[in-house]
Amino acid sequence: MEPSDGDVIAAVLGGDTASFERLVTRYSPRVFATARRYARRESEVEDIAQEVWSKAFQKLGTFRSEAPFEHWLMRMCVRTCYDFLRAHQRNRETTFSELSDEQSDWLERFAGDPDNASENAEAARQLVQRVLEQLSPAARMVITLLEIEDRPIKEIAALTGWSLPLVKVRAFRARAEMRKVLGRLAKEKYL
Amino acid sequence: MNLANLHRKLIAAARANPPGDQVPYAFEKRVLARLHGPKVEDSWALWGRALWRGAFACLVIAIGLSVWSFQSNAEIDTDLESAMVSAADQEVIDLW
Repeated sequence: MEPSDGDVIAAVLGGDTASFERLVTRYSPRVFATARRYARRESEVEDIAQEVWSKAFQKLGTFRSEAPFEHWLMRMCVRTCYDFLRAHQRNRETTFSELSDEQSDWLERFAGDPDNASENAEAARQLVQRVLEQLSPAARMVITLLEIEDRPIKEIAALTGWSLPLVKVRAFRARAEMRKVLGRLAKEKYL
Repeated sequence: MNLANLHRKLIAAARANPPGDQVPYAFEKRVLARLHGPKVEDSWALWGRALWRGAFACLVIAIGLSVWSFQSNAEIDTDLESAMVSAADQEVIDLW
């Protein structure tokens, strides 16, 4: 039978650091899925995941068993992703000049008949990625958590460490920023 | 062009295609090796520490100089004055 998170954590804190591998194996899929929302290259995704586990190991002593380990870890993961976005915000693209043919076709289909443009298309997925990459780190984080992952405001506040009013203000600003980026996309493509 | 509709459509596209959760082969081994391996010092942290030490040394020197200059103020004033006005003094002497 698999030991519980609490048992594994107690073992690691007791000096059996090899037991930490169990936690890494158990929760890495969630960490990788979250990191892939914010980083495009696999090397960056792996760097984020390494950073998350490194922090988790160093701060394991501060974990209180009142909440599940997964929640504690995901808070750390989201904050590491936010730090990553902030560190790389200078590399953000600011134009849509290099849209692929598939992305342009999808936009044209959408402009012609919005209901006919499938949201399951790969081009739509790439396009939303490009739109998100043009947002500021806070806006991208809020749009991802609130609209894509459909999380409640309270949970976003807990994950990011922002206050409830700050999450609401940032959500309002993020939607405005998104509208602006979409407006630019429409204008650049003369749709 | 309905931007609100485009926004909805793109968000729906992102929801319909969640990122994969596959973990690279032997990732947990790499994490453990990194945790047990020798600590790699961050070069920025090294620079930061060196700069703070340098700033502290500069502060000590500045305070020392200030104290010294206050204590020997009169002497410096006299020397400085005679050095500054020596040329003028010479001119006045020559004129007379």
